[in-house]
Amino acid sequence: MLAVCIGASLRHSILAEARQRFPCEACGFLLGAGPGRVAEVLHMANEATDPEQHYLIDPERYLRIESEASGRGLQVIGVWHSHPIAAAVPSATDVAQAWPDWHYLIVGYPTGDVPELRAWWSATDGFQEEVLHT
Amino acid sequence: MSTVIVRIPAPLRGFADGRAELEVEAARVEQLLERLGEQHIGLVQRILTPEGELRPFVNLFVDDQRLRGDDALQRQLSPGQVVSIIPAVAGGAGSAREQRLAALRQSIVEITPAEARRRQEQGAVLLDVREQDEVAGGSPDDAVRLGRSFLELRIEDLVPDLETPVLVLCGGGTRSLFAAEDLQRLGYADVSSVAGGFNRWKDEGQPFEVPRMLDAAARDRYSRHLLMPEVGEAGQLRLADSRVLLVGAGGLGSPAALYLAAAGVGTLGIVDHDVVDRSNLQRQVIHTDDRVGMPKAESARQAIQALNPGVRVNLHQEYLDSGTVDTIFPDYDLVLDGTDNFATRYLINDACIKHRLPNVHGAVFRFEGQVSVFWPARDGAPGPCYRCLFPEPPPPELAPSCSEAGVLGVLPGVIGLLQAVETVKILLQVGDPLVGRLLFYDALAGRFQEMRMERAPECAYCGDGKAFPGYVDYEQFCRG
Repeated sequence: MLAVCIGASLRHSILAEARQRFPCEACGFLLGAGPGRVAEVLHMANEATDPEQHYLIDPERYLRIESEASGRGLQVIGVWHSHPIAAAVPSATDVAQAWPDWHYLIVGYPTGDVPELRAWWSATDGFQEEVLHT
Repeated sequence: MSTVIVRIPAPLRGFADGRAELEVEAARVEQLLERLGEQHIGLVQRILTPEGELRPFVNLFVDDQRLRGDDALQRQLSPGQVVSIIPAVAGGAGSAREQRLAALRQSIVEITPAEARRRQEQGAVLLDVREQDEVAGGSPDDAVRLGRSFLELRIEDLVPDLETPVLVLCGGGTRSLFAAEDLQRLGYADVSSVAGGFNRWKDEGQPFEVPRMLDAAARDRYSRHLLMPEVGEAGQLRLADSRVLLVGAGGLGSPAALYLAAAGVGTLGIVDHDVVDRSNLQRQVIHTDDRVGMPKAESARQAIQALNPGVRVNLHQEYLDSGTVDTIFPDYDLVLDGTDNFATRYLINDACIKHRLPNVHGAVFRFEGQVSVFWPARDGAPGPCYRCLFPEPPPPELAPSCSEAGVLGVLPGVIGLLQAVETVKILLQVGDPLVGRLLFYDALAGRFQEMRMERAPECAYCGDGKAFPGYVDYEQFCRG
């Protein structure tokens, strides 16, 4: 099974942001030196017109973040977002808009009793779940 | 021509030999993409639609400026400029509907129209769950049609075996997912949804028909019938196609004609040569006080048309005798005998045998009445004819007519409506008709009694192997 490493403090950061944005979806980037290990988590503004059901990150911000990251030897290796009232499983929308070879971290039910955090690798033929390591 | 730098985002580097940047010679963005396509076709396929337009989830930047608008691809490039391909990063849980559909697609098998057709030919039921107005425009050949709104309530009438494979079809392939899930919950073991629905079915050239259906006004008028699985749309259309001959627009024929018209029997023939008399109005409810003196057949026509203009009424104002009966009976599916004299009753019996028609018989006398169905030609289970019971008429002094003996006005209403009920049952082919049974009603006692009647194999008219012996002089026959 595929795997991705992400430290505890980064996970806390993602979950806290997802709770704070509830009932809207929270989103952001995962930076790393290469796929497989998340070095930094960025929180981005959700620009979707219906933020409770979708997320959208402004491409100009993406451009800035990518060039800033590359100056530090990092790159965008994935994206994270929350499903405020759904499971941490890629939705039809996620599948339709996925980019290949990225990590997708999804927070499910962030304000529920049992929030979920699951990782998915976006292959060209669909999502494959990844094991989360610290 | 300028040399520009193309910056490739990480998700697309797999299509550019893993490189983060490429150098390309191009004067305009469009040309740049063409050049890129020559080297890295997969990359350009993800940037442009097959029509050559920028995909909505891809953004192109020249230096820090985002390309927008119809002429984005015509933008001039200068040497050293950086063109960045930026994916729109988007997704999300989606609306409740999107989430439900995604979950349904996990649990419901979707098949192509061609596969559905193949499985239908092997015995699977193709279930069209679209609403009536959609089906009116066409529906797959041999589909079972049941709108989604009544699906759970009626599916077991149409597909009783839960093991039968069911292929659910709607307009575009979405509603059929919901319907398929409902069927699974009901216990159907093998349910699939036809992807793309009827639109794709038609586009792919699969066979369909434009089914005959009731119009909106008829749907409204007969809505209580349509709710009943024993009638339904098919039954209502069958009634509309039916032709019933009422012999006599009197005490029995009046209520029968009104209710058969209301029920939607398409053609009603009325044989009556009499005119409306004020003394008829005590029981012959199809006529009215202001139509006294009018021919009964015409009066009945006016009442039927006022009640249900969709019914076709044929008037036969001649006297029914052995000379006219053969010109009238062949045009009908069933004869309702509402006569009050034995001569005509025997004539109707004999003509129904000759023309193989069911004869729905009724008779009243003071407080008593009787109903039966004489039908020797019935497929599979032939019944007796009137002559099997009464080979000869009673002497006239023992069989007085209503005009001589009197009748409780309400009574022919009861008996005429029992005849109408039997008529509708026979036309719809539901239930057990009163074949071989005589239902006797004693109004004073408030009692119904059923008497069994056997066919007489030696009956001169309907007996085994008997050829039709011809009509007789019925007046003479009944005078004894």
